[in-house]
Amino acid sequence: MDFIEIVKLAWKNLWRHRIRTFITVLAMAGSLFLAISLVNMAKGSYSKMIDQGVRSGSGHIGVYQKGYVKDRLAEQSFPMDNLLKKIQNISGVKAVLPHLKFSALAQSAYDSRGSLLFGLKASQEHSINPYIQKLSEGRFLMDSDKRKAVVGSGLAKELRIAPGKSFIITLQDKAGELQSEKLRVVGILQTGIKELDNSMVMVNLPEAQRISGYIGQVHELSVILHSAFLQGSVLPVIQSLLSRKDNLVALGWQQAMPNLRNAIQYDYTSLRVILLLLVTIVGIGIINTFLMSVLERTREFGTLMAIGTPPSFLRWLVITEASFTGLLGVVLGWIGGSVATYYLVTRGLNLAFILSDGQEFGGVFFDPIIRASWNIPNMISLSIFLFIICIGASLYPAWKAAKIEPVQALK
Amino acid sequence: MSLVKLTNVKKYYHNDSNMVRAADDVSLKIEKGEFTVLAGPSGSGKTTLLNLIGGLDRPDSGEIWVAGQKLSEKSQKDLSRIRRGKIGFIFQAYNLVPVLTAEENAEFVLMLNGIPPKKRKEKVLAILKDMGMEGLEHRKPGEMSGGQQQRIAVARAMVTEPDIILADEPTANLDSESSVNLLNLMRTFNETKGMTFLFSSHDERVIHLAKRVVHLRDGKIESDTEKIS
Ligand SMILES: Nc1ncnc2c1ncn2[C@@H]1O[C@H](COP(=O)(O)OP(=O)(O)OP(=O)(O)O)[C@@H](O)[C@H]1O
Ligand SMILES: [Mg+2]
Repeated sequence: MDFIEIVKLAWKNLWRHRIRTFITVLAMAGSLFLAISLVNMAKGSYSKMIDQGVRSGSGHIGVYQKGYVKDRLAEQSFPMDNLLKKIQNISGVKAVLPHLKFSALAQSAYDSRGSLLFGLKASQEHSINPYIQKLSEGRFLMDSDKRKAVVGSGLAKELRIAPGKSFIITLQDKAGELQSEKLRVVGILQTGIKELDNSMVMVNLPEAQRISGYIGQVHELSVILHSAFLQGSVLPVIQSLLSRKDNLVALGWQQAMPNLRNAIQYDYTSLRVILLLLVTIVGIGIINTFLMSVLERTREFGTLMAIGTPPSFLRWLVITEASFTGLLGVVLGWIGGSVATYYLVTRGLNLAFILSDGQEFGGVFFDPIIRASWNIPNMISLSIFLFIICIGASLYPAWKAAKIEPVQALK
Repeated sequence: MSLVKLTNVKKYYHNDSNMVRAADDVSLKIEKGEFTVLAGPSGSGKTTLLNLIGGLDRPDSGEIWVAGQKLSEKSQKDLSRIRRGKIGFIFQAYNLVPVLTAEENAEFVLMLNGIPPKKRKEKVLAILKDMGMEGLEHRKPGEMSGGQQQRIAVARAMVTEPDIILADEPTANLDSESSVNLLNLMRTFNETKGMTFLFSSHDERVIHLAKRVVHLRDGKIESDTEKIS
């Protein structure tokens, strides 16, 4: 059979009902456009959330004592000594941030509140942790600062303290004794995450170590990579470094931040369900259109069969017509989706008007401007999926065309 | 051996209560080069008989031979092949493909038979020239008169040089002048190229132009007269 002739005839048939073809193509293009923009938008916001979560929390990879992620006990610390340097030398690693964290009581002349004493390396953290760029007042810590703290905005409000004012922090030290220290506020942190803003007390790592008595110790080494894609190659290297220290583990952010991972998974799953519903509805619509286009040509197809056209010719004709429709829909949808993605990548979408101050998703601060990211493999698979749906929608009409009885059709 | 041979062919339809004998024990022979009309009133079985000879329908009993092939032994696929190889069809309502030009319509069966495009064009243009239809080859059916469309349908049937052309009331949709013109065209092809035609009609002026008239009534052959012209 001559496929070129089928293709030619199918192309001509496509323009028989321009409006109908146009509407069918538009329905397909529209759903692909939506799918591409929504998925690229979602992926863009996920990677931003992951990035922010990673930078402010566990890192792409976190090194902990076994059980720390679950229990968060003060004594689950470990000496950082040369481990930090070794990890820093692995290629792909951008920074290793040591963290030491304690529950503590913060007291001012007015009030007292439970808080989180967070020891960190100010200069390193400053360039990476996005929260620190959210100071509402004052400045961030400097490495040389002693007895200075950056305090969460909620906590500062409760204690009625501001830059220049001091407060007392009290915690249980390594020996089990209560230790107090007077700290002076240098800056107020406002992340938008209530949990952090209401409890955070950031101090330099040596200060935290000195107050707590955990000299040279950390709870977490937060490893920041040049790109999230490097996680798969760097993680095993770190794990092999830890193989002789059997009480330490290296975890990917997915394990260290299960809330974020679950939130993303849930969000992406619901997006896919919605898209699947959309495509199913479009698919049913085009089955109907293709079927109509076959039924109204019953006489024509009957004639062609009478003069000796094999039924398979007509079957392939209908499938080829559908392929053209699908191809046009995919091309148009791809163009539309790309334009939308380009806009959403460069300009982003400002959701500030929807989100008030609770800009949080899976425990991670959420920038109101979300940007899409290009996901070419995703765009390709969405297009292929839609094209297959289109071909699938033509199978029954094609079968119907091949089943036409010439004697009946010619009456 | 005859080009077409029917022996004791029966085709009965069962309507709600009664039975219709659309072909009732028909035996008929058509020889090469004939120009024969199936005449008879509406419902007499003309279409039924043409459909049976064309392999579009199967009889309840009896044998049908066309161009040396016994149709009852053939599969649907074989019948389809016989139709595009050995038989030409002309229909009452022209039935051209509306998106194809006159030329493309006329060469459709050649295309199905795998004839290369250049050869197809050559053959079609030659036929259109014979018909005095040059210049119309790029028109779509919608841009031609009924008579012109039916000539293209004749060209589509002729161009494969089939053993026989079957035409069910080819003039029923045409005015009387076009009808006579079409019949004259068919008859010319019959006389100059020896093409065998079997067509049906109940138009006396058309029947008049046939060389042999087979009269049907209630599925039976009522009379069979050869005219010496
Ligand atoms: N599919 C069918 N089911 C039932 N009866 C049928 C069927 N096809 C044809 N008939 C009957 O068979 C008889 C012969 O029909 P046929 O179409 O062959 O007649 P015809 O001579 O071609 O008539 P016309 O001049 O009106 O075209 C008619 O009585 C018709 O009603
Ligand atoms: Mg009839």
